[in-house]
Amino acid sequence: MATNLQFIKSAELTSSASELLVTDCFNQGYDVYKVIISKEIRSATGYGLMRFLNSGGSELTGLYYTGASLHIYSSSGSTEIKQPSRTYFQTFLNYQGTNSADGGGIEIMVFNPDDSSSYTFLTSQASTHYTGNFLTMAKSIGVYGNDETVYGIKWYPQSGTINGTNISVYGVK
Amino acid sequence: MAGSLIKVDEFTVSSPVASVILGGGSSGSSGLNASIDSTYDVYMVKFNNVTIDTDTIQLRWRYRNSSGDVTSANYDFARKILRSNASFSNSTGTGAGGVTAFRTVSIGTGTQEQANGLLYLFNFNNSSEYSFHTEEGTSLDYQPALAGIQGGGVLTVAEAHTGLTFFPASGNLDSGTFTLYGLKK
Repeated sequence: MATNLQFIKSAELTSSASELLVTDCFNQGYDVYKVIISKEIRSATGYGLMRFLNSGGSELTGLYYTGASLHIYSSSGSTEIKQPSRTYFQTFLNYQGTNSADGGGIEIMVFNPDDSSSYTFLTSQASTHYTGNFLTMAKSIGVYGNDETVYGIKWYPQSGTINGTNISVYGVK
Repeated sequence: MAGSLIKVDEFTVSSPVASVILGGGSSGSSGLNASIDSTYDVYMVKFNNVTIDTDTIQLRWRYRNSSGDVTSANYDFARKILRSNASFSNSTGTGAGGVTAFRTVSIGTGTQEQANGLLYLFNFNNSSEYSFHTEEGTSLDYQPALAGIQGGGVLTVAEAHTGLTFFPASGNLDSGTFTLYGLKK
């Protein structure tokens, strides 16, 4: 059955690396994009970090990244995380451990990346696991506060390496 | 260009039933013999207009493996309950059983009291990883008042899962459409 979610591209890591780049995924003519991150394995417990890429595949490093997130733990309690004016989406999108089964998944909706006159916004939800607080459920919002087109993603861990992951990008028609 | 959100299974409750099995192969409610498998890495579930014939009851769900419903006490959940008429609250647990872990807010039998939601399922086809889901729900609860849940869950057993079973805490499902989609790789 045809639907209005259009697959654009995916990138996969099957061995250890410090980052995964997905280039030229947002300059596809859609207003809204869905990014799915799954099958992630990390060498160190911590957050997933993200930066946008420009048309040449280089990182956008300006002080334009702001995020806010609610992390809820199955072991009890929750934490409000506020990250204003950073040089990357810092320590809020998800938190996971090093067990190969900890990966879970992340859904990110990206708004207006292909509009050179608009900021780029996102909403995100993640369900990942680590030993300690067990399940961590993260519900987040973010903005890249510079009016320019963003073309791709750099996804990388707070520390250590990514030992496996898959990122798929879809356009919402 | 062909769509990338592929409908895999669907069942609409047209007369009262105790449960709905989405996916699950030959056990599935639709009779389509559909199952969560390696065709897709990520699946999405939509449920809408779900009503229950008993007052102040939650819609619940649990994962299924090749043997049927997983009821062991290995479910973790973490969610925020949003209410239009009361304070928000956390709902969390580890090592919960498959009867109570995953659920909506309690709905009633009054006019338009119903549950709606979206789940994303991760790693269900992978026998060496835990299976996870994210949850977004919006309901008119038993009061009636708008209430919803933002959260998720995990079954901390490394095994493959073929579907979900939806069921009310008691009574029968009176209506509702349950749909399983695969996200094209």
